[in-house]
Amino acid sequence: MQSQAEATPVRAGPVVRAALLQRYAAPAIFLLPATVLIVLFFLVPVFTTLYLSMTDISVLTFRNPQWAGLENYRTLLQDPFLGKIMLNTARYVGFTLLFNVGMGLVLALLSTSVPERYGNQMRAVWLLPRILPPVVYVLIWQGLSRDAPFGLISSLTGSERSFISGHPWAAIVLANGMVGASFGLLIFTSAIRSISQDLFYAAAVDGATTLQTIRRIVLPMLKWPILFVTAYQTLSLLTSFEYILLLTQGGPGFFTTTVWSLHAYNLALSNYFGNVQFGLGAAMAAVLVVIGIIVSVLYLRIFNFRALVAEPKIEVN
Amino acid sequence: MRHKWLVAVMVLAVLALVLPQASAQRVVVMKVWAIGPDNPSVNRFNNVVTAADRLNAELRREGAGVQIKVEGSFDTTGWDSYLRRALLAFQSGDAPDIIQAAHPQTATWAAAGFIIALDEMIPKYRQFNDVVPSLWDAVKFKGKIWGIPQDTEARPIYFNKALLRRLGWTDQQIAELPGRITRGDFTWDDVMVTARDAVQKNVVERGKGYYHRPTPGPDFLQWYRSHGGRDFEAASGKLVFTKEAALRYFRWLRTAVDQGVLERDRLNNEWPRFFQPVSDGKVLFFSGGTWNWAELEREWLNAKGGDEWLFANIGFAPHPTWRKGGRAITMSQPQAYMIPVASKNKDLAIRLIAYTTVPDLDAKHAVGSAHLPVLSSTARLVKDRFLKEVSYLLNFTTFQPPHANLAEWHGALFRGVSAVESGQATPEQAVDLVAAEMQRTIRDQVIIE
Amino acid sequence: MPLLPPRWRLLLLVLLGLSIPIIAGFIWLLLTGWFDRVHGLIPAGGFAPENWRFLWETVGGRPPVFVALRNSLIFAVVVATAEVLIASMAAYAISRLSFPGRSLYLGLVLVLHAFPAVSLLIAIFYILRLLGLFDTLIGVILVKASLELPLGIWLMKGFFDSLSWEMEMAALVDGMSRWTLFWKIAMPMVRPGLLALATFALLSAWGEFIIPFTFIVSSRSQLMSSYLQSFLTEAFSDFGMFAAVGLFYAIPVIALFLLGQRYLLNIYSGGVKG
Repeated sequence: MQSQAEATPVRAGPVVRAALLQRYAAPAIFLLPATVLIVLFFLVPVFTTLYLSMTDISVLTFRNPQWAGLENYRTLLQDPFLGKIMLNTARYVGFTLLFNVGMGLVLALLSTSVPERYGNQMRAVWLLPRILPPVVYVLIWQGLSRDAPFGLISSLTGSERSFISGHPWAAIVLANGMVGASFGLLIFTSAIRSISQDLFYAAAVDGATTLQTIRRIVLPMLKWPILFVTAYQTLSLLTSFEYILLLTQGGPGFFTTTVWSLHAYNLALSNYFGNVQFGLGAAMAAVLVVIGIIVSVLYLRIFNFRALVAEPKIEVN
Repeated sequence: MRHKWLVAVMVLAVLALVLPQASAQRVVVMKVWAIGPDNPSVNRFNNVVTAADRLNAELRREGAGVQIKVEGSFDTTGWDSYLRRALLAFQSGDAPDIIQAAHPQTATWAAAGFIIALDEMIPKYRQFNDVVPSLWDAVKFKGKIWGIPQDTEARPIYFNKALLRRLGWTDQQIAELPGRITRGDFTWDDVMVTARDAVQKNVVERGKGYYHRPTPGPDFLQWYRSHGGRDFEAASGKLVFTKEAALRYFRWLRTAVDQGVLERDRLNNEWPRFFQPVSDGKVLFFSGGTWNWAELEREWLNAKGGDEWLFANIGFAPHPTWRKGGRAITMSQPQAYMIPVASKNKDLAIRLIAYTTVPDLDAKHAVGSAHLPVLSSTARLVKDRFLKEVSYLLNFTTFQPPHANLAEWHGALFRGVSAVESGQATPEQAVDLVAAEMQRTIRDQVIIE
Repeated sequence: MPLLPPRWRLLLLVLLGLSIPIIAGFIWLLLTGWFDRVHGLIPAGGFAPENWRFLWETVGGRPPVFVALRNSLIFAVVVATAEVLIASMAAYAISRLSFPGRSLYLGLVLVLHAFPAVSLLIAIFYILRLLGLFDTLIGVILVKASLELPLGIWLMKGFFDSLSWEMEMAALVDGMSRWTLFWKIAMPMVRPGLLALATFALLSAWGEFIIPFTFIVSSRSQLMSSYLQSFLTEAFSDFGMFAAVGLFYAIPVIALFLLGQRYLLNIYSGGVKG
């Protein structure tokens, strides 16, 4: 007698079809809105940026952009000011990162070395620059930086001029840094708090000074968080320009504080004389997009993707 | 019996509701965009509103069944955001019916297909016959007219009379200065010498010998021209860049910075740092526009006596030239009303503009903002002392060339100026930079000589 | 650290010192908004309620401030609501459902979370134009909500992950559909997460500047951020009024901060954790 296994294969009848539908219907519904938005405003723009960067689209050719291949990229490479912009970007990212991580670390160490309620209070204060609307934050900076006698900074340093036009780099690094420091501050504080108390008591029993405790116990535990904050903020600084736009518009003067992302934005979207060079701006943005993709993927590899993708607890569909 | 008068009341009520409907007007919303960015120029927008009221009255008389409602805005932020808004609006089909912009935009926007040519519509309105004839050149591109001149101005070099006196000039010498400039007897070199003198003698602080605008603008073309530069070749219709003239101009700037006459970061984007020292009477020479007079008077010198202070302390003249005996020069950048292709009310729009182009509204804007009128008959209405005294500058005036790539030309020149003033490049390097940039962005439409 | 260093009071002083700029900034804002002139942090002019005239006058060519205020409120609330709903749904699916491409989807979300969305502004402008959503509130609401989604999904996934599956198992066995389960059981259990996400989204949307600045041009759709920014670029600076506008704009944030400091600290600590 033929075993069931050798019987003719069962075709996917209506019952099986219904089961399949049931299996995929639920995820489909739940994921639909998010998927539509992500496709529309993340995925499509990524490809659109690459596409636009290869056309000659500008004010004059807005209606009929022509394919330009790698022309825009060639133009970029030949631009004599590109080096300056890259230097500015490196400067901006480097110094702000230093401030972000450094200050974040210092604040985390300090705020965990005082009674908790004071520590919390101070951490909350450092949260303010982050939650305040950027325009208000910049307004405060401009107000404090005004020419004497109005600006606090001028009164304190005795200089006549506006702090922002006199020292644009300092202003930008500090302004961005004070917002960014809270990121590191909170992560490091969490990490410090999660260090087992026994280690501290053991160190105390051994007669370690505060400094030694920090060096031997706290800092080693902060290695990964520091690396994470540095890596994450490098990428975000590379592409952020909002505060620079508001504070100095990339000036004063000649590309003084213009960074790559700001230049891309200006080329494509804002220009005094009205000659927006959309394609060129898109080319600069495309570079950032590609870097962004590569680096984000790298982060995932390094910072423990596997653990986050563990299969769901409920398999039944 | 009772029902009859109830019915009558109802009939009357229905009639009362229906009859006004029968004579109801269709309301057409006209979107108008205007920009200063200087505050006193608000009449660029308000005049259109006044004109609409007058046009509405006329429409009622004609029984046309249409009334106009003007909506829109007067922008005081800046040219770059305004132009960006305009570009995006043209694209999205949400364009205004009338848009005001500087005359060079007619070339760019016409080339891009954003605005319509007005040649056929202009003869229908006699108001346009009164426009000063030379102004039509500013809005012509490829043989057609693309905008209606709204105002014009001139860009003088201002000088502080009180500071010149402190420097040792007599009142007579001060009074003769404009004449000497116009004749070519007082050149840029003389400006340099005088300003340097003032700095060295502490009559002015370092950097306050000469001021110019802190933001990009068309003025740099004028100063480059005053050093002998060409910018347009009518025969071929191409833009031109004269390296020798640019070198002279850049060298002047470099020397000015080195000698403490001009601030290194003059191009700092901060208008307050232009206006405040000027209104404090601390700057010896400064380049500007006629409208600055109104801005200074109204906003900065309120407490000091407005234009009394100005007439007592500030003089003006066209810009000097670079060599003795050369002709003084100034530039006018007329503003124009244009009609976008996407507008659905083009005929009404041109009619509305015609109603705005009348002597009394022309005068109102001119006097209110210290721009110059566009109509020949406005001169009779203008009693303003400053406008009367400054209008001779129009004899020396020039316009920007009508070319679609003018913006790239300006952009390249501006880069050169920034590089030289901030010390990023020597004058020679800057000239090469500008030439290369123009070559790259304008390609075969520019002649580098 | 559980054991305080002996000279912790000194450390507290240093901490305070480092934090002075922020505190000074606020004091400046407060004083300049209410006084005529402020030199440094000392009022030099009289009490100046006219700084607040933008509340009853229109300033320059701008629309009344209440137009911008209304738009900002709509923007913030709709973005936050959309964010919370859409992100929760997607996070629930990733956390609780098994489907092909699940790990790919999660990977994509995580990549996008780290990805600098700002670099896509140029392309998004082009896309909004194509969709006819340029210069509309809806357009910027969609853009903002979308760009915040990765963070939202990632956050809510964490919350859903930590739910015990027994309750859901029981409900499923009883024949409840996924959809009902999601709304009746799962969502109520992650209320703290929903609240946290809503707070992030509200704060972030309230302050959002670059997106409305780039994609909105007409004044009737203007937000408070662009309204205030238009003052910063004026030639003639009346800082008293600017500060008053700034204070007005920042009131909700300051209020939230004063009333819910602890809460904010908690959620921001949780939210940024790697």
